[in-house]
Amino acid sequence: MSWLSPLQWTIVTAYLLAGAGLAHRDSGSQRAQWAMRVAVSGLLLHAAMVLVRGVHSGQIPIVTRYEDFTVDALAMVAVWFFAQWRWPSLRSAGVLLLPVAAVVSAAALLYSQGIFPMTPALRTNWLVIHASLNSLALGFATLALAAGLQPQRNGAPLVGRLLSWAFLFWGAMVAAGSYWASIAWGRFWGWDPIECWSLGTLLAYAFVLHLRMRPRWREGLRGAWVAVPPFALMLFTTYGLVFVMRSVHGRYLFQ
Amino acid sequence: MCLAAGTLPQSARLSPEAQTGWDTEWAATASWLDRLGLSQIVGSTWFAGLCVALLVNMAAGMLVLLGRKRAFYRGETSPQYELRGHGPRPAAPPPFFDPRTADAVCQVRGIPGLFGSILFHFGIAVIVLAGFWRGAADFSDYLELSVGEVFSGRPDKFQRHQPPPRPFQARIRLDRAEITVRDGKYMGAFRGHFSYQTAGAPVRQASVAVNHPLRLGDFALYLKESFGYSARFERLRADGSSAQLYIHFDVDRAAWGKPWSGKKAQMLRFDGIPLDYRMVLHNTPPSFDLRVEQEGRLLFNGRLRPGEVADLGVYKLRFQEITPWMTFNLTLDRGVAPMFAGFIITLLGFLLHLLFWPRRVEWRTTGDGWVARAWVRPGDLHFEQRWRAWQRQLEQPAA
Repeated sequence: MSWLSPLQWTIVTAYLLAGAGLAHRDSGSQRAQWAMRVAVSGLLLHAAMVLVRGVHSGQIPIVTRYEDFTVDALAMVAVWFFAQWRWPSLRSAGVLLLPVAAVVSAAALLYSQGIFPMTPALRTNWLVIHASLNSLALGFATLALAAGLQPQRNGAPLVGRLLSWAFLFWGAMVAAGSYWASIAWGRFWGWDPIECWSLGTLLAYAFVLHLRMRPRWREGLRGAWVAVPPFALMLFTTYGLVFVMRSVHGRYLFQ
Repeated sequence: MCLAAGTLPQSARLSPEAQTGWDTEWAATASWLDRLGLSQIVGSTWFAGLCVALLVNMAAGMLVLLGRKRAFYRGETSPQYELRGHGPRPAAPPPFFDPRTADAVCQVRGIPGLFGSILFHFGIAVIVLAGFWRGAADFSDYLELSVGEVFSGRPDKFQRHQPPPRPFQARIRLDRAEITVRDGKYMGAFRGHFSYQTAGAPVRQASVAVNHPLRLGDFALYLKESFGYSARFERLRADGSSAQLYIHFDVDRAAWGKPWSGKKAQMLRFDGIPLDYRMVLHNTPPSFDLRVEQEGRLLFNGRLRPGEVADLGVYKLRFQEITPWMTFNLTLDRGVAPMFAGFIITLLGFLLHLLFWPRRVEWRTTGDGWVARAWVRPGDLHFEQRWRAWQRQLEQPAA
């Protein structure tokens, strides 16, 4: 699939341009409107690329590390796009979120773009559910962080809600993975490194959500920065852990 | 603690070889972790104590929360919003207040949202309790079965040679192994076809694949992704009795379905007599090179073809055929249903908390006018926007 790299670089460029275009005080300015058009074009191209790859390979494209990064970047932008539709104040969060999605999308190109057949354990709809929930959680968590930290801070009041959705999707991802493990391996919890770090991430988000019940942890920059440690945990669990520890996830995925 | 359990080497997770390697190569660290109780976190008393503390903490927190929810429902706390006016009540009602309903003074909406966090924490308590129950009742062990082999619960078939806590009341026979490898490394079809019989039931057929276990009463049989060739023998004793013997050989995926030879050296003990076996299995054509010694004394050295017999003195071995074998995991796990019930309750509770926003709105007439009060959850932006809009509407002079 030699067309992948140029297409992916086009998407990366679109996200970077859109992110730069949104860095303007007036989200209704002509520049911001152009930025939105570029972002939507990138999103549509991105979705089409993932769809075509799925049809071409005949399997859900979330098996390899390349596919994982690509789908996660797509989820980030899609979550932001639909969230800003519902809450226009989140539009300016694209200033941070779109460059992050661009970096994740570009990072995908560091890995093999080949198509690898699924092992028997992966041939189930639970993979689709588990991986989709993971991507959605990552999308909401990135948006929560971007909404809290972006310079205009328009979306700051929504950070708590976004963190809650990230928590819900991450929790559902852990539960779905656990059920899948129970039918694939005969145990729903094996204290595998990724299982434990996923639970740790979930508990970190639970801690932050409890912390945010106090007004002083909900407002201002403190309320935004408090979401950084669980997000870092989430990123490490999703992308970093398999590089430093042996896990069942590394055995089956991320070739 | 979760991160520690997933990061530090845990004796329950390591294979015996890996455990020995860890204890030898990192002796000082392993010893310190042992002393600190960190080499087996799950199942340790202090970890159970932490879980109990979590349960107590949540129960106490829920009692406090229940009180707060009740006070919210009854309007016994300070309202977040309040607006007073003189004269009759204006035509435009406060947000989320319908003056046409029977209760035209106080209305509470989003009541399911009041129970969301309580249900969520109750679900977590169910998960923790199910974990305790499961820890006391579960069983899981691996067994390798060859095509044609019958299994009815013999403990020596299990990797750990330990019987399950409850009798395995079923009889299973692996009829066929469906194994194909694509391009020398990717698994194609992978499935074991069984005949099985549970207590009092007729013989049935079923297949077991990864993600599709076979339920056998309280037990379940799962297929693992390891397989190979097995040499099937009939072991003939001097008294005329006989028993089946399967010797398994691991096969790389790349070699599956191609001409292949595999070596194995093993001490095998039958009828209390240990013998040193050195074996080479060839699949094309099927043959078995066997060299057997007893305390350095050669008993047999030769090649067997299907149907040929090796006389070892203490017993004879008739080489019968080569069949595939597969690895299965037999489990008894009664904690699964309550555990997943806990997951569902937890997620449902949190979903209720996210989707339903409890809003209590009062609109009363007073001696000289009216007062509107509202109780909402912190961060209820939707209500705030609607309340501000209502306020602006009231402040506008009448046309």
